[in-house]
Amino acid sequence: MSIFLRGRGLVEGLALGEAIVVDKPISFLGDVDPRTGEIVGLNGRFRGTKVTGKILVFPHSKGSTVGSYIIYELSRRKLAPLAMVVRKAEPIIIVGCVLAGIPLIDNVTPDPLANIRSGDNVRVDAYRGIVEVLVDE
Amino acid sequence: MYLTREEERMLSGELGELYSKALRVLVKLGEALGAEKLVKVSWAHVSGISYTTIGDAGLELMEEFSNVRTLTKSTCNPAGIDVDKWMILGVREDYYMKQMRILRSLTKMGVETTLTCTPYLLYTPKTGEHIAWGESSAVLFANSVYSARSNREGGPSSLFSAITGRTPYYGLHIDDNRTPTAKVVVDCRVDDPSDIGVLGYLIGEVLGSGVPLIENLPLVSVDALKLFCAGMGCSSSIGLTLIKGVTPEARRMADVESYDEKIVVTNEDIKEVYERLSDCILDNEEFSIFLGCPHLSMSEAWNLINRALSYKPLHKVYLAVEPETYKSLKERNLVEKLLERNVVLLNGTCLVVSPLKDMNTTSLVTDSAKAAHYIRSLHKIPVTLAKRSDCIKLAFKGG
Repeated sequence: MSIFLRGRGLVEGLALGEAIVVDKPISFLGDVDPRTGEIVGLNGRFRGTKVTGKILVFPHSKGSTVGSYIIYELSRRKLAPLAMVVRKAEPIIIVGCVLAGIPLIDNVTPDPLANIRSGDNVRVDAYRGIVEVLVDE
Repeated sequence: MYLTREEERMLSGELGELYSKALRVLVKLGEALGAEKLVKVSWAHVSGISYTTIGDAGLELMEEFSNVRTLTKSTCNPAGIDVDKWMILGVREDYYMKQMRILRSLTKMGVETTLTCTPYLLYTPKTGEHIAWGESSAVLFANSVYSARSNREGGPSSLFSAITGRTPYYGLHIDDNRTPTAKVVVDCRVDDPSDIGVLGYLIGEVLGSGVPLIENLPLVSVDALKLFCAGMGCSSSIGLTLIKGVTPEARRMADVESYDEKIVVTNEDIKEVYERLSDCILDNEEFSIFLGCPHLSMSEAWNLINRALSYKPLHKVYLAVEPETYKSLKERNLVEKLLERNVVLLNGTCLVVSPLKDMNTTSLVTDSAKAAHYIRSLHKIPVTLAKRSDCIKLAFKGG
């Protein structure tokens, strides 16, 4: 039994992993530590949580275009998320994910933030723009 | 997205992996933004140069891409240091080394290290010319004063445009997107260049985005327009403003009365911004004064330098200029003379992107709405916005 969400595959690739759902816009510069993969900003709500190896689900990015470099550095250090699933991709995320080779899907419907929870097992097919939330029977 | 044969070849890796990666970023960006194709650019201005801004992540990327050469004329934004005087300004050696590695990477790529936010004063943008510039104040200037065509690029996209010689064909590269969406009536007197910067900031704040058509802009000298564009750039996502009497393409626009929005700006509105962007530090604390955001032109610099040499300085003053201007003033021994009077002529840098804590700068007075906005939020120090004439009075006894 799965829930299927559909969106626009912006950076191709496949991923399967555990979802981390962040319900606020992320400024990669400042909110994520590129040396550890930890979420350090966002008012401490996700303190200690790492994006590494996860399917990162969030509304959109904000802040400086330097955020793209932060995403790139995460991948260079092998600390990057497996994929990103967003409501709306902006240049910061697009540039970062292309550089880092991170599959990226945006314009997802139904709303990924309402249909995916942290800990869910999620499959991302950014070739076809499919997000599958695998639900255990 | 449609790609030319040449672009296909670049994307497939025929020029090497780095060109392919750089082009892929732009293609993906373009696809996401609805661009049907790429367009060649004749000039790229790269932002995101300061080590303060891009850090180790950006430095690594710069060094990786330093193995390719840019395919178009390229200039760049200010660095985080004054390459001449960094040591006496308190910048740490490890910071200096990293900043120099960034600059060396840029030079290796073929980017001219112009280190200024006013590249339009070094070379002149041409009407209709497709360019890819980072630095919002410069984009606004090129588009609004010359009717050149650039979107507001970020650090990475401006770098990749420099490398590939292309940018996605969308936004302000297209005629249809360069028509007015709001009319602004300026109903105020301004008697100081900083008022013009505040005016830009205010209009940007009210509109947020779109293409304003502005009538009756009270000061239209290059120096005033510089500040206007800087103010508007930092409070909005506006990339083009059509200024009657200034913007070449505004001449062709008939007086259309139906806009989405019409706003009127008054002196009261301007006064309110001064108050809002000020932390009122003048009574108690030690502060420095910062002029030159955007970089002072040669004539502005001379004016201020003459005052500095005539009057006794009361506070430390930073004056930021671009490297050619600096070189010229240094040759006249002015850098040293000014330092003796506690006036620091900053070479190819800007306090907004400098390591202010290391430089022992803990509060500032500036005449730039942009500097007031960014220094407060990025460096978390108190900043006061004041007219240039007031800054001069504060700085120099009898000034």
